[in-house]
Amino acid sequence: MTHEIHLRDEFGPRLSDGSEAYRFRVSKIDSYLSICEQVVLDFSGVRSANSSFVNALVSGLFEQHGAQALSKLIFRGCLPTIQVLVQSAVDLGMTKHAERVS
Amino acid sequence: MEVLEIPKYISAAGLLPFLELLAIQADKPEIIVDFSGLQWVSPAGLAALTAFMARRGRNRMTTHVTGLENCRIREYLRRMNLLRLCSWEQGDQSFTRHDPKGRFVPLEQITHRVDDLGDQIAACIAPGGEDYEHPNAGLYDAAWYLVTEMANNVQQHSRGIGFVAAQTTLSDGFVKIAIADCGYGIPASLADAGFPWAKDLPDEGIIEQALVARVSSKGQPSNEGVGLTLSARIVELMGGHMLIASGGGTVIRSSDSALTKGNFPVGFRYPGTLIAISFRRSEAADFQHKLHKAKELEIPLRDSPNSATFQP
Repeated sequence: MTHEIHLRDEFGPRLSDGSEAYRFRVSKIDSYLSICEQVVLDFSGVRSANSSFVNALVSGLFEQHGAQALSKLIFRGCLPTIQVLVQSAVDLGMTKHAERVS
Repeated sequence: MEVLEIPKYISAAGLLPFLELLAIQADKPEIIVDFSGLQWVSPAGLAALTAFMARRGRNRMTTHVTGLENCRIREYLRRMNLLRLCSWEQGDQSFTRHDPKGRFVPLEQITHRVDDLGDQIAACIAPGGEDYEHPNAGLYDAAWYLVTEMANNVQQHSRGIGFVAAQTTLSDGFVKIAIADCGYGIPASLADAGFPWAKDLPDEGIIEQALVARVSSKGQPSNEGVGLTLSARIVELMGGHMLIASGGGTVIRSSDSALTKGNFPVGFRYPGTLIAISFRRSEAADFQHKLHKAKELEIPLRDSPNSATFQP
């Protein structure tokens, strides 16, 4: 089963509030990552995002689920700037996951 | 009664002496603010003064104003919303407001949604950049990113009232953005967050630590303590500098990564936080690459690449 989350529908075209992203991750993404084969985070129509939002949305998923999140999460429709933020958040989360394990 | 004489020029060179004046007068219960000599003020000076006045109002300290009627730049102060935000003039007085797009951003209080505020300011600095294909898109992205990260800090950390102002001048090619609040301050915020080193460092040393990745006073996972860190590095990569004044200390990070630390006279503190940044607008065109480079330089990651799956 694939679960798709359309971020523009949830937050509009600009994503800046890390607290909002954190609450959304905990309530709307974490649980699906455990039960779905794939979770798509669709950034189509999102014009701008900052580190606060993307780190709070993405980094914790990788810190918590590690490689499992890497195999299940797909990021769709990212503008190049947002792709930089997402990849950095993934790297940060994986680093923190490795620190927890070791 | 003490008089706060606003200096003639509050430019980049005059900003720190001006902040020192504010720090000295911050806790005086009754002062006179004299504008008669003022001839030039930067966005940072405006933002700092507005936050200073907001704190005085909130703490019910008395402030008298003089010299505004003779001030050479009264109309500029009005256009920049200083008079309205400091309640020295009602908002319904009519005057000719020039189209600010591409030139300046009047003072705004950080009250509404940060992403909308970022859009408003970025669109003013980089007209047309809302469209990702527009030549100003990189400048729009840079301004939006910096404003939203710093405004988030004001909303989530400061416990005070914040203001933002900006200016872009074609003559020198620099964009200037300033955010000031009258809140708790970075040193007190990090000391309260329980960092043991914060008790032993002077305020300028604590501000320096706030520029290190993964140092944050936030109580819940948010930006992993990289918001200010990345913003400072991005500004540096765009050929600019960042000045931070908070509590008793000041830190200036210049385009060659050098840090210049300073402090206010013993016993005086800047009441809140001011962050003033300046960067070359031409260097913002490839903001995406600057952001990538800043992340590589500032966030200590392990060697193993964990490539995420991206789809168009």
